[in-house]
Amino acid sequence: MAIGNVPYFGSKLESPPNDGEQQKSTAQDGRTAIGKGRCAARGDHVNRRLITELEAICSAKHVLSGAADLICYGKDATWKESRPDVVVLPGSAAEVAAVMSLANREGVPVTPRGAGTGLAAGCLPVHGGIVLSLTRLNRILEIDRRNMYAVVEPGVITAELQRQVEAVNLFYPPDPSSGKVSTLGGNIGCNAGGARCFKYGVTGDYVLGLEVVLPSGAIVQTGGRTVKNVTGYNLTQLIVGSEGTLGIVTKATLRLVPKPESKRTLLAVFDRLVDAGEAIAEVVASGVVPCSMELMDQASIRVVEDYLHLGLPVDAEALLLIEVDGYRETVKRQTGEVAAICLSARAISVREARDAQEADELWRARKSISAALTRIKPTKMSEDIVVPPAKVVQFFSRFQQLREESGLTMALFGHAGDGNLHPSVVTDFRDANEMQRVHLLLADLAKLALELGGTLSGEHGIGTLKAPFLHWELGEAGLDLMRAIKRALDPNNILNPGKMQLDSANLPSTGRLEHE
Amino acid sequence: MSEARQVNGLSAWAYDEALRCTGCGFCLQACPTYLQLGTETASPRGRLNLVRAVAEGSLPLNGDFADPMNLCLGCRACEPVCPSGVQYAMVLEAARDALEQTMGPKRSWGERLARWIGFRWLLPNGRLLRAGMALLGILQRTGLIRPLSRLFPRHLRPLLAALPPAPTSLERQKWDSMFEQLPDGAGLVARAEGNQKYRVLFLPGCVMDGLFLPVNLATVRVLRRAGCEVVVPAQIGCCGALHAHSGRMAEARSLAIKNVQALADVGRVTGEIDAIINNAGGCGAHLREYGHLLSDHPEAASFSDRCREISEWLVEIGAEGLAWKPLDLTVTYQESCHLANGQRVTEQPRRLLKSIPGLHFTEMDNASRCCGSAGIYNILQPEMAAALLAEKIDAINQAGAPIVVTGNPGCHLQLLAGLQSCGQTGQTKVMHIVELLDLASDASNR
Repeated sequence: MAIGNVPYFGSKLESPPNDGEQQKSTAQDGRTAIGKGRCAARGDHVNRRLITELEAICSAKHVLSGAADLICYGKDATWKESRPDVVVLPGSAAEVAAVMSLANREGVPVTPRGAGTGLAAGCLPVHGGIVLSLTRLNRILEIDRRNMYAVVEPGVITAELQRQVEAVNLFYPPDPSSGKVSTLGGNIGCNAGGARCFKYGVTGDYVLGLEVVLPSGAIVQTGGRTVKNVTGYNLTQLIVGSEGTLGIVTKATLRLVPKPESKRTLLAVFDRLVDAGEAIAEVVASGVVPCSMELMDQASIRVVEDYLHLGLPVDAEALLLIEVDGYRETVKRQTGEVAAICLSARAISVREARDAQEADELWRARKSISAALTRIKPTKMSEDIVVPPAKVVQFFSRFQQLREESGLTMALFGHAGDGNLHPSVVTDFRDANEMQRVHLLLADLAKLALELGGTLSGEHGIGTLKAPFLHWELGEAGLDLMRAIKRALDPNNILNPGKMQLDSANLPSTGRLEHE
Repeated sequence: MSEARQVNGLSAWAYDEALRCTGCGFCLQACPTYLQLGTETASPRGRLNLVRAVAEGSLPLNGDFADPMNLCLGCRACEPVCPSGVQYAMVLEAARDALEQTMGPKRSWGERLARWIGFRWLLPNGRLLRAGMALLGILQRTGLIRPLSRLFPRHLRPLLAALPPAPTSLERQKWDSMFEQLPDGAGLVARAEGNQKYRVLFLPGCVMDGLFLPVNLATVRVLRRAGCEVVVPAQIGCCGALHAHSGRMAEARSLAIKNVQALADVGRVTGEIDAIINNAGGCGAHLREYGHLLSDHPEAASFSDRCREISEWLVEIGAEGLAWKPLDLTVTYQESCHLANGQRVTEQPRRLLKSIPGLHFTEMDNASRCCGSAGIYNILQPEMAAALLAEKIDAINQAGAPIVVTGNPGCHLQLLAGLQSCGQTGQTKVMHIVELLDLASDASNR
């Protein structure tokens, strides 16, 4: 399918036209009929009366409509921008439900937001309206040690839950790199991954039950507190990864596991990127399942070395940061096996982290790569593709080829163990010429991932950034099924509209790049 | 900043710098105002987005921009946790500069008068400052300060009540008697005790000299014991930090030039200066930025390169063994934001405290979180300052140490005010780290 010239990387997202226009446009070949001026004007949704009603629900202190507030809540961790008309910060599920109910009656879009660290523009209010921040719902309600689950509110920071459960010898494995600042609600919305997925799985694997506010304002309980539950449809897993388009999570019951007794961290250094690729494939095939196996290429190593000065090998083409956890004896044995595999894949050195402090620093380095890339150039654009682990070598060599050919500044890092890689480009959005080339390159990389039998998004979600590629992977039938589900839960299309290709005409008008 | 390139009234450099923010949000959990208010607008990421909006023309330079920018403490806790390395403090300065140009003239005449007196006359003028201190001393000793403080806004009264006693003429004499005159009226010099290993310049500062003379006395004593000859140039004065943080860049620059010149002038008389020592977290951080502030001045960079905070210097010259006298005290440490995030000195004060025999050191929760002083922030933003101070006093009490050690006069005053408000002045003492080092290295007690 031709992608046409959809510059969905355009930063200022346009609202779609009014309903009448929507029927005319089509997403078949990417080009749309959205005219430049003909759109539902921002500010039409929200007027004084609505704000008064919102204040009655959340109290005036928690309803923000100042110019500065709207600017700040119109940005996330992408280079995109889309301002709301008002921001509300409810303090309870009841308030969330009341806001949704009101919005549904009035036809006002509502976009939920956690910490705003998403990488797919998922929390940006494409159609304006209300941004609903979940950050005030930030309590850990319960940690049940005997039954091994925790009940949390969506605004709890991931690292805070990890800290509290580890203090009682339990473990919450999902560990997205943004964990120190991102919220569990956001993690659930994106079915977040992170470095420990290779062994432990993703966020969705740990969600036992949810309390969800539906677009109508109704509050629903899904799942429960048990690991096994086949009572009715699996509504919990419908909501997980739905990126806030089907309901707003106001409570979650999360599965916990016992904290591993021991863990060791290895650093394997490679002269060639493809050798690291081989090591990855071999480790996966060997049957050793490290907790994490993370890749950092030379560009990534250099930016974090610039930031943290840890003495990382800046001349190596790649390094693998591998963590093995479990019982003391198995960890010892597995560490040896992994090291041997890396050496036989021509690693120039393999060593263990000196102590817990160095291990922490190495992980901090790994988690800082994405943001640290703007040390090179200000605009960073990444992909979140997954390829089967055995195909990683092919991806690496093609990546290097594309980098050579394009002359663009690129880095490659990610969760190599499960094949989830973040090829990234740094550029300057003000260089329209280069931006065009970047778009094409990222599209090529996405295509490559699909060709190798992989997928477009392993953990960041689709949001708006990857929406145009959805039909490549899901096909029209798949998209239609998604839309049918969306229509059933949100007939007025008010909850986070404009995402995931769910509106058939959500694509921004052609040719608009930011700052043209 | 008419020479530098501007975009919509804001420095183009600041716009470029703000663009490097990826929105990763790592700064949010380090920002005291975000942790208090929980809104994106009160976070470093939010403020950088506002700077971008101004540069891009979608936000004017008015109250909508000024309010969130003025709520920022300038504590720089966001900088060490920013993977992109955005130089937030400098962007903030540029924003304040832009706001000063457009909104400064719109302030009330009372506020403009107070600022004019404070920034233009009092801080930069050593003699006026001393005269002011002498007056303060009289008000304190006669007890007139209490009724007089009722003329000031309510939030300033705890600060005024907590002010340490202004230096007496006896203390001034102690200071003068430590020094000899340099030839040509170039300044003062205090010889090293024993073998001289280094020659250092010491910046007595304005607030330090006015309200914390005992700390300056202790600093010189400790430096001399560590084998340093201490030089105080005649021309040295206020570092200009408060001016720069308020966007008064022209004044900040002229103060900086004066200080850089003072170093050059005195160096010609004394010979090579190894280091420029400060004992104030905030001032020292600003001195280290002279290279950036005076980017076209040939000697500014070399001035900044030689700046060292007192505990940093003592560790650098291996003077940890200086503290030999056991002190049976329990202390905790309040980190000055500018010392930690500006001067990047965090380990050395702790090392020195732990090197004092008999001293029991206990770390408080969130030692590095701002106490709310932030220069004159506690005067301008009393609510947020008070909220942060309350948390800080809580943390001090939780740590269970009767002495809290600090390294910056602003923090020192803020903590005194906080303890005063809670009626804890009797139980908890605030000391500068160098005062403890002075006690622990005092040979006259051998």
